[in-house]
Amino acid sequence: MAYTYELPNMSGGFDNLLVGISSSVPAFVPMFLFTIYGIITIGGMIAQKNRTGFADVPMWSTIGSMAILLIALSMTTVAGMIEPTYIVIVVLMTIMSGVWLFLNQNRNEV
Amino acid sequence: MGEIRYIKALALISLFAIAIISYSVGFANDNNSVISIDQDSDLSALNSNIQSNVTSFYLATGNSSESFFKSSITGDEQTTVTGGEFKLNLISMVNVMKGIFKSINKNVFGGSQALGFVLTLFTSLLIYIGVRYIWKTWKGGNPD
Repeated sequence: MAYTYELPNMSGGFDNLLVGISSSVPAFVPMFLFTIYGIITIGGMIAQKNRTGFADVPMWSTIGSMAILLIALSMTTVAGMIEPTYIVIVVLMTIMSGVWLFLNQNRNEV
Repeated sequence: MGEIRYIKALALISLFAIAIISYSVGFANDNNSVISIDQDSDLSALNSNIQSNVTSFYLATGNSSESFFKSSITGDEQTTVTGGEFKLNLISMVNVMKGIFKSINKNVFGGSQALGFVLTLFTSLLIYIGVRYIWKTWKGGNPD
C-alpha cells in the first residue's frame, strides 16, 4: 500500500510517534490544541448553562486556553513536536481570553 | 463600565499577562525545553514593557498619594482645586493594552491589516445592532 507520507517509527516510543505525525502533517498540533480548547470551552459553557442557567463564555475561553497552554508547554520539551509560532499564539490567546474575562461586565463565577 | 471596575480590570490584565509569560519562560528554563518563549523577541519585549508600565503606574500612584498625605492646610486657606492628589495615572495601564494588541496583531494576524479588519467588522456589527435598536424603538416596536 502506498502512503503519501512517511510512516513514523512506532518502536521509538510515543513521543517519536507524535513527532513523526507532526512532521508529516504540520497542522496536526494546532488542530489537536484547537480541539482540546473547543471541547473544554464549549463543554464547560454547556455544563454551566445547564447548571446555572447562563453560560460565561470568557471564563471558559480562559480556562480552555490555559489548558492548551499547559499541553503546548509540555510539547516544547521534545524537539520537533511544536513550532515556536504556535506557542506564541497560544500564549497570546490566553492573554486575550484574560483581557476578555476581566473586561467582561457580566457577573461570573470567578 | 464603572471606573473602579475598569481600573481593576486593567490591573488584573497586566498581572495576568505578566504571570502567563513568566510562567511560560520559567517552564522552559526549568525543563530545559527545546523551544522557549524567550526565543520570541516580541513576547519578551511585551513582558518587559508591561512590567515597566505596571512599575510606572505603581510609582506615579504612590507619588500622588504621598503628596496627599504630606499636604497640610491651615486656617482660612483654599482647598486644592485640581484634585491631582487623587490622580491614578492610568495612561501607563492603557499602554499595557496597546502593547498586548500590538503583539497580537504581529504574531497572530501576521502584522497585516487583518486585526484592523476584524475590529472594523466588530464595530460595524455593533453600529448596525445599535441602529436597528434605535429604529425599532422609534417606530414603537419591541427593540429585541
